[in-house]
Amino acid sequence: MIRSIAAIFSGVRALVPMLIALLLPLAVLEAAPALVYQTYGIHDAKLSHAVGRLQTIIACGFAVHAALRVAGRHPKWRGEYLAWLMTTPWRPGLPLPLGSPAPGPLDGVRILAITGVASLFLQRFAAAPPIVYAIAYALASAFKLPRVGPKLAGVALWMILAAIVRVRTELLAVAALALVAYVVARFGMLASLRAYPWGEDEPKPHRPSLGAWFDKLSPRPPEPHISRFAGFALPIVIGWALYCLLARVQLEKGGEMKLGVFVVMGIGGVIAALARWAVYGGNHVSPISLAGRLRTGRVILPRHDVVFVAPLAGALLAGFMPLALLSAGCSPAAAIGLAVAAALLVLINAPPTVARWQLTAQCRITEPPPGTVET
Amino acid sequence: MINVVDVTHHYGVKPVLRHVNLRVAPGEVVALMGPNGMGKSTLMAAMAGVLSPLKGYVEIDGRRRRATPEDELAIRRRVVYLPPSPWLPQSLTPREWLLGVGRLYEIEDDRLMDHVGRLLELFNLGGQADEGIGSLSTGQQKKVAICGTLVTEAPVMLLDEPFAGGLDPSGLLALKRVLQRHARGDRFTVVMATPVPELVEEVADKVAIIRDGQIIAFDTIDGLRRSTGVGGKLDAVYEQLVSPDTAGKIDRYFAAEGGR
Repeated sequence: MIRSIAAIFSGVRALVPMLIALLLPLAVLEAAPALVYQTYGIHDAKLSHAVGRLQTIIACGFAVHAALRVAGRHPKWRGEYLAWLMTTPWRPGLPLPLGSPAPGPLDGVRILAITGVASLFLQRFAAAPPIVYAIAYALASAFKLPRVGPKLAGVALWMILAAIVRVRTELLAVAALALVAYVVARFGMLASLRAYPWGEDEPKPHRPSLGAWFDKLSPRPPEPHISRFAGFALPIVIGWALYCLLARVQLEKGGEMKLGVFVVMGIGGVIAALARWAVYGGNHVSPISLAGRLRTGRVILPRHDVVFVAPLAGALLAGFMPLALLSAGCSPAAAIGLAVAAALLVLINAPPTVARWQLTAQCRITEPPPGTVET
Repeated sequence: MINVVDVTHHYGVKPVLRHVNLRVAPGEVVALMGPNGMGKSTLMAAMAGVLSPLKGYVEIDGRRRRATPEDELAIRRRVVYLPPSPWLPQSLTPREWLLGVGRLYEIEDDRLMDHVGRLLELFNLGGQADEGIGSLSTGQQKKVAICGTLVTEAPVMLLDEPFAGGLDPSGLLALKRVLQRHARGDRFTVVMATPVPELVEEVADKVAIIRDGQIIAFDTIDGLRRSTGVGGKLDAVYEQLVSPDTAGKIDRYFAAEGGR
C-alpha cells in the first residue's frame, strides 16, 4: 500500500515540470487581460471570469507545490530515497539531501511575492493563494502523520480541516484555521523527521499465507485490524467531520426529518455492525446450528454469543441515539455526528478484541468452501 | 500429555460426542479408530482447538484449550494438526511452504532448511520441490501436507486420516516408518484417527475405539486382545468391539443371494 502511494507520488512528481510549464503561461495569459481591465476600470463579466480563472490557476499551482513539498521531500514517502538515505550517515538535525519537507524562508518569500502580485488584480481574493497553500500542505501532511507520527498532530489536522469545511464561507475564520493547520502540519512534519528511521531498519520477515489451517491455528497471535490509537481517533474524527459537513445543511425539524435520520442512521448502523461481525466471525462460527440450539434448549451460548453484543449495541446506538439527541434539542448535525462517533467507538473498541475472540471463544473454525483455491 | 475431560458435543440435535474422557501420556502414539460418522474427526478437532465442545474441555501439557489467549498460543506452539483435507496455498512451492511453516514454529533456519530437504527426499518430492503446489497430484499434495506437519517438530501431533488422501505405497511406508520411530522414542506424542487396523497395529502404542460418540475401549493392542478374548490381528479385535455381528450379516447377505 505504502509502496503504491509512493509510486503514485513519484509519478506525480515527474509531472511537476509539465504542470509548471502549463500553469505559468496560463497564469500570464489570464493575468494580462485582467490587469488591463483592472487598470482601465473595466468591470464586466469578462473581468470577473478572468479573475476567477486566474485565482483557480494560482490556487492550483500553490496546492501542487505544497503537496509536493511533503510528498517529494519526506523520505518516508519515497521508498528508494529512504533506502538510499539509510546507507548514509544522515540523522535528524542534519539537512536532508533533497531539502526539508517543511516550507522554508524561500518558500515564504515566493508565496508573499506571488500574493503581492496577485493582489494587484485579485483584490479581496488576494489572500486565497496562501490560504490554499496552507490547506494543501496540511492536507498532504494529514495523510502522512497518522502513520509516521506524531499521530496526535495528524488527528488534529483532520479535525482542523473539517472545521475549515464548517466555516468555509467566512474568509477570516478560514484564514485563521488554515494558519493553525499549517503550524500544526509544519510542527508535525519536523517532529516526524526526528523519529527517523521509523523502524524501517528492522528486517521485516516475509510471511506468505500458509493455508487455512496454519493461518487459523497459528502460534502467532492474530494481528489487530486497527491500532488502539486509530480505534479511538477514527470515530472522533469521522463524527466531527460529519458534524462539520452537515452543519450547513438546512434540515427542517419535525417528525419526517427524525424518521429520515432514524432510517439512514439505522441502516448505516446495521451495515457497520455486520462488518464487525464479519471480521470476528469469519471462519469462526457457532459450534452448533440454529436448529440445534432451538431443539436442545441451548438457545444462548455465552462464550460464543458475546460476539453479537457489540454489533447489536452499535446498531442500536446509531439508530436511536440521534432520536434521543434531537428530542433533547440538539441540532441534526450534532446529533448525527455524536451518534456516528459513539456507534463507531463501540463497534471498533468494545471487547472482546478479535485476537481474544478467535483464540478463546466457544466456536468452530470452518474450512474454506469446497473448490476454493487458496493463494 | 493430552487430557480430554468429559467432552460432549452436537452440531445439530444428535450427539456426536458423549462424555468422552481420554488421557494420552507424553511420548505415546495413540490410534483413534471407529466406524464412519461416530465422532473421530470431531474429537480430533476438539483436541486440535478447531472446535470448542459444548461441554467438557481438552488440556494439553496442563493448559486448557481456548481458556485464555496466552494458554491457547502456548498450546499452539506445541501442537500441530493435520486435518483430513488439508488446504494448501496453491501458488507456493512445497519448499517455500515448508520453510514458511517451519518459521511459523520458530525453527532455526539452518536446521529447518536441512530438515525440509530431508523430508522432501523421504517422500519422493525432490523433483517437485520447486513447482507450484497447485500443479501437484492429490497424493503429492497429501505428502506435502504430511511434511508440513513433521517439519514443525511440534511435540504433539494430531493427525486426522494421515494415511488417506491418495498416498502411494512409498508414501504410506515412509509415514509408517516415521510414526514407528516416534512410537519408539518419547519425544513426540501422536494421536491419529484412522480406519485402517493393519497400519495401526504396526505403529500405535495404544488404540482408542470410538462408537456412537463414546470411547468404548482404550488400551494397548495386547490389552484389547485380552479384554475381548480375541487373538490374532487387530481387525478381528476391532470387529469384535465395534460390530460383532458382521459375520452374521455377511452370512445373511450371501444366504439371500443363494436363495434366488
